[in-house]
Amino acid sequence: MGKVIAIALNTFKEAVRNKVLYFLLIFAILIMAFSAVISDLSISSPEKLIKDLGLASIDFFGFLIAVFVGVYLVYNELDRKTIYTIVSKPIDRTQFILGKFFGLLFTIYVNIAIMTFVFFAVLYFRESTAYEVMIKHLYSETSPGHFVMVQSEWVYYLKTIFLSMGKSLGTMFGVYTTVLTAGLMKVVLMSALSLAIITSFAIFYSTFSSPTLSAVFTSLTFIIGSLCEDIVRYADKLAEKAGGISHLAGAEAFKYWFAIVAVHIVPNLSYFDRRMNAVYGAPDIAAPQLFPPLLDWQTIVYGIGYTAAIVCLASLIFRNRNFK
Amino acid sequence: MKRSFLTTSILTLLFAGLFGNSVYLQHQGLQAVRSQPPFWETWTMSGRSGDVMKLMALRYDMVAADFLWLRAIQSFGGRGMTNRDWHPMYNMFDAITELDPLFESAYTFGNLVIGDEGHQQREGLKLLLKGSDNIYMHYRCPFEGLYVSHWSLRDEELARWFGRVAIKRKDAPDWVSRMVAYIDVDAGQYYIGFDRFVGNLTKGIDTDEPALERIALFKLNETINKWNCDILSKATDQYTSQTGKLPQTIDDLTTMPALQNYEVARMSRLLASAMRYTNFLGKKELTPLMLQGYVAPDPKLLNEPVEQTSVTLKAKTMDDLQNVIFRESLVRGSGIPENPSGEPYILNVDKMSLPGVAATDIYITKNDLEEFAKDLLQQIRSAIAKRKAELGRNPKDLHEVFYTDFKTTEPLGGHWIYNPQDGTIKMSSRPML
Repeated sequence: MGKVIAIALNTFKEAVRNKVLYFLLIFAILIMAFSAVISDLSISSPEKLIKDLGLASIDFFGFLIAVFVGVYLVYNELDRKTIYTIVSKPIDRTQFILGKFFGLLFTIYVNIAIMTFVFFAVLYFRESTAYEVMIKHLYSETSPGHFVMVQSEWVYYLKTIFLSMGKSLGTMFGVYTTVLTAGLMKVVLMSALSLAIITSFAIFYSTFSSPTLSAVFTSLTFIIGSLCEDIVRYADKLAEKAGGISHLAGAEAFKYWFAIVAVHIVPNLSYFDRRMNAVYGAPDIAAPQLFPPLLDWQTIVYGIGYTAAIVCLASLIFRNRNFK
Repeated sequence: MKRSFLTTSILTLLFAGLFGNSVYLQHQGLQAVRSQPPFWETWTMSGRSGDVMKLMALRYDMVAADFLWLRAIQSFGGRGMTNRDWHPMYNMFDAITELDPLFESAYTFGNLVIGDEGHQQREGLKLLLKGSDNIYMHYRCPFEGLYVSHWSLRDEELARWFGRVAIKRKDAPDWVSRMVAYIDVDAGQYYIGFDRFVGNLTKGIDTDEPALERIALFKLNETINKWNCDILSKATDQYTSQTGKLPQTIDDLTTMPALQNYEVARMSRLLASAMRYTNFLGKKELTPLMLQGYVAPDPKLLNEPVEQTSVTLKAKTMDDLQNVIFRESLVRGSGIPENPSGEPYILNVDKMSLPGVAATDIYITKNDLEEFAKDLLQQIRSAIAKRKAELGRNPKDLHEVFYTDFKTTEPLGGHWIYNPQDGTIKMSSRPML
């Protein structure tokens, strides 16, 4: 366990030296800050726009980090020949893969934490700087119809920035929640779980292919995983058109079975997507098949199990790999 | 050194030339933008674009919908400033709502753009229908559907359908059910409208909300009156067909088939029924102030013992007894119906011959007729005063006021008495008014 942690920490240190990581992080933060600006262009539901963009950014930039950082981790060790010094030590190759995986996952989660912090801070800041809220805090009615300014606008902005940051931290650790941010942290946690699967795939592909190919394969896995439910519907449509599965023949039968096998192999990333539910709030009716709870054990077990399986597969391949 | 200076100079010149050229081209481009109309649609979407976009957006459908939403807002404004053709925007709203099916504002704003501004109300309704299906827990989309169908399209059946959907939604406020009942009554669906308002009354009693009880009683009174007037109207048509003339008094109608063995709700029975069940369940009674202006409760029904049925025995709230009260309020009978105010119906003969007059203005009570006469008298007095100010003296006769012979008869059966000496006007039947 200690060896895995040592490799993981080393991987984390290596990853944070990667400039790509910072570019991605800065870009994500800029988009979140920008979401507060573009929400003003909407004639209604401005918070929805911020939430949509913020949650999507956390998920998508997490994926980009997994791809751009993850695919180089094993390759760099091989390219710089540092793998020889590692495998010559009493470290099992599985421990090496596990260390790499947890190191990368930790890097991604730290980034997710930073993005989430900014996301909540933007939401709280915008809520506190809404016109009617600001007017209430800046002016006081001394006599009917007569108002005096009780504090400067800039002081209020400065106070709000710090307050929003505090509230943001509170929300992240579950000690402060309002209607505005209710359930959002759970969505982020579900995204984090789906990113664990993507990370395991990035590591898996990098054990046997070049960084470019690994990036392509990981991206394709992400795309197919996102379209899993659409592919099932496509397969069903094919069968329906033919009048049933038994009537499928030739190319149609191949397409059908290929689609069915594919959707059973690739991860269904839609399971982890609870954004719509959180943004619109859980409806007050019993329709669990349409609106799954924000966190459910079945999905958590599925996510962890799937990730573990792919890491096992990556270890299996890596164990048998010849470094010559 | 010399060579280095030369290279630097060439590079500087190249930079100045190329960058200057770029700035110039950019300036030209901006000038072209300025000379164009403020909005130019560059992104029109074809039908079912949402399906394709949903696939392309992967799982980021909601973000794609948001950007499209912002684009739709721009497009709405831009079209408003240029060609004012909002019809092509339907596909845009369709795509937004495919990507984010719970985006309520997209349905309601889409209906506003396509229906109200673009004059394609049916297409606007299509969006609201889609919204009603997708956002099945909120009342807003079906309610707007009701509003558009009733007030813009005058399609009562569709409005009632949207209404029925809206009141089933958990977040529908009380007034939605009242509005639906109003539309039911307006569409001649008196039984349904009456039943819904009885529901409002029982709910008001259960929750002890006097305001809700008062509104419900008022609407029930209005519904029964409309119902009665509808029956009287049919009887009038039958009388006119049979005799070839208009009836002169309400009693002329009593023998008409429409007034034989018909079913209608009676306010006296409704009040009696509601009161005996409030007593039965130990609920707060309807106050005398609340009952003011309505017919007295039917004493026979009021004193009848409550029937011991499975419904009445199980009932804990007035709402449980809504159907019982509804049934007890209905009565089958012949002759002139009972006016919910307690006063007998009379004919407003003056209005009968006018086109487009509502039945509720023709079959009225004596009090209503007096109020109508008072209003008319007030209007004539204002017209005389205005003419007096113009002439600087009292008008010689009413012809000088209205520029035509004053043919309107005095509503209460008498005639107008105008005194040119002091410019006063009176009704012969009510000279004290």
